[in-house]
Amino acid sequence: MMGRSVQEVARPQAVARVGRVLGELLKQTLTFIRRKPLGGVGLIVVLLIVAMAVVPGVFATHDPLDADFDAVLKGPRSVHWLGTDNLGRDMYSRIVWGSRVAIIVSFGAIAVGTTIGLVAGVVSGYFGRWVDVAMQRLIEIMLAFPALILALALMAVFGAGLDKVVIALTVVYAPRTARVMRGATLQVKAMMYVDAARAIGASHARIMFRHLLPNVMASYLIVASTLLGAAILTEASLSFLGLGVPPPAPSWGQMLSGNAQEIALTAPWTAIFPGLAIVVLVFAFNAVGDALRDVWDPKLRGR
Amino acid sequence: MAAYVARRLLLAIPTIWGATTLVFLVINVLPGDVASLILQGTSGEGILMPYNLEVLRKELGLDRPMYVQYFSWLGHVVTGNFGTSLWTGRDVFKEVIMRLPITLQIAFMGIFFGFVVGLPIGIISAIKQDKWPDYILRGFAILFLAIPTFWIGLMVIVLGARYFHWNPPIGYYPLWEEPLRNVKQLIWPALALASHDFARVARMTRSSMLEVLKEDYVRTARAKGLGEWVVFLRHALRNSLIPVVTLMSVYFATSLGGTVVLENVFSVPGLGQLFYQSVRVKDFVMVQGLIFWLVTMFIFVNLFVDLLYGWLDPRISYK
Repeated sequence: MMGRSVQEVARPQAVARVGRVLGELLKQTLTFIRRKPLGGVGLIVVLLIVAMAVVPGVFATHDPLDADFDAVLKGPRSVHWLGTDNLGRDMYSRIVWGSRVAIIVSFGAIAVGTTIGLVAGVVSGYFGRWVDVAMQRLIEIMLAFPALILALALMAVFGAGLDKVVIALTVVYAPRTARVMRGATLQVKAMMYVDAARAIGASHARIMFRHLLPNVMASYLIVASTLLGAAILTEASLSFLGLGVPPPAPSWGQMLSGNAQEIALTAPWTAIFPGLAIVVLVFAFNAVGDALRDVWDPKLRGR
Repeated sequence: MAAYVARRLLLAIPTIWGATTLVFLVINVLPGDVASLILQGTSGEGILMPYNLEVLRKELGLDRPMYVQYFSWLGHVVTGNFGTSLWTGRDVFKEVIMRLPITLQIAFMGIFFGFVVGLPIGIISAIKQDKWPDYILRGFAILFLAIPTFWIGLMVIVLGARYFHWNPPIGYYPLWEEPLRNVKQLIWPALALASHDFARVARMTRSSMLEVLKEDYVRTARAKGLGEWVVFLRHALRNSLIPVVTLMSVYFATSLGGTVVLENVFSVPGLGQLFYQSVRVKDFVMVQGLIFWLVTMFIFVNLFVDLLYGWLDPRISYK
């Protein structure tokens, strides 16, 4: 064996640091759950559904695409917990796999969309003047469209697809975030320490990233967490209209689309359970978002 | 105030222009146009003959360069001509005017129900802050915000047919001719929309009321011996309504989006249904006409809400 490399020597220290950070995170999470029980429940539900999305095979009892024509439209029973659809596919397993679409779309679109919005908002608010005017005009135009109508128009052009849903929702939610982040930036920008930073000769980039960004982070996380639920509802609406994630891949909204209405007249469970799945996830996201707002937004503290 | 309104209306022009231009670019940036969809059918079952395609494109004016199409559309709009649908050949403006009242009625009915139910819930929540009625009502609001409106519509239809042998009425009856049948039909999509509006109104009313209750004039009102309810309803409510009303433009925008889906669920021939159908076949003349009117409506509602704001809060004046 050769002598130990620098990385190997450094590793225990790094592990210890990661361990400390994780421990701190865990402690804060536990405090959060104790202080905000509803938010805590929401967090646990979100984590559970994220786990489903990561390893759906562990949770599912059947292949979600496996058609069993001997068991078409059977109600909930021991083999098929939530019944079967018109092709004899197991509803429970389809809902478990459908969580993957919901989680990818919501986290994907919100991560990208709100990050673009965050940067745009901070830049716009910090530089002001013509940069601000130009960006705000553009944002105004984008915000003149109701969210779902813009998303629909984009999906009609892109065509159905998981990646396209993410892009469409990114376009929809970035300007909404930018508007809020600009407001937050303007507030922070008026603070004395920003003037102080400028006075000692800090560069624009330094002021934005070291001083403004950390101080608008709370507002950002509140916006992002609120938009997660909205993104799921929009994706469900798009898929319901047949302009979201194409079949056969299971998505909750798409399970309700097409002739689902007629099928549901004889087999209501085919429409009830996918809808409930949407409700549970959106409720969980909103509960977490609400709790975060209570904890982080100093203006609302103590309410 | 007239000057303020005039300035706002002038400022609206670039926004409307930008929005329609954006839609034009988005629709035309990718291949596939309405001509091939007309010949092939939306699911692509028809046979596409290159010669027919060329003839049809020429007929619809799609063979012209993109900028020519764009400026010819823009030039006509300025003179009030929104063109004819590429798909059905109908006059865009007439079609919009015919369907506009239906969508507006659904949206406004939804907002109305939202306020009627949401306001009392918000007020009670604020008065009973952090007591069990507050928890239950807030829980309700968060729950309803999580339910997709189209799913509520779907459940109404499915459960109604299954357990009550009831089907939602089909076809459309104008409000002025057959008010009862009209309301009987449109009340369902409106209620589905209201399921989100009421929750937003309730939450906003609660938090805004709590903020107002901390103000000095509320303490003064209590100090001079007024009853709790007088303080709540006469002193706190009016002031806490301001942010709630401001949100009305947001409800209106989400309602317009929501009706696109709900009009399809309940087969109501409104703007939303038309938008969905036109968007699917890339009928950009119709889509742009619709966007023009939707955006214009939205801007007018915004302006109206801002003026209402000034009326509710006399400290705000528009110059």
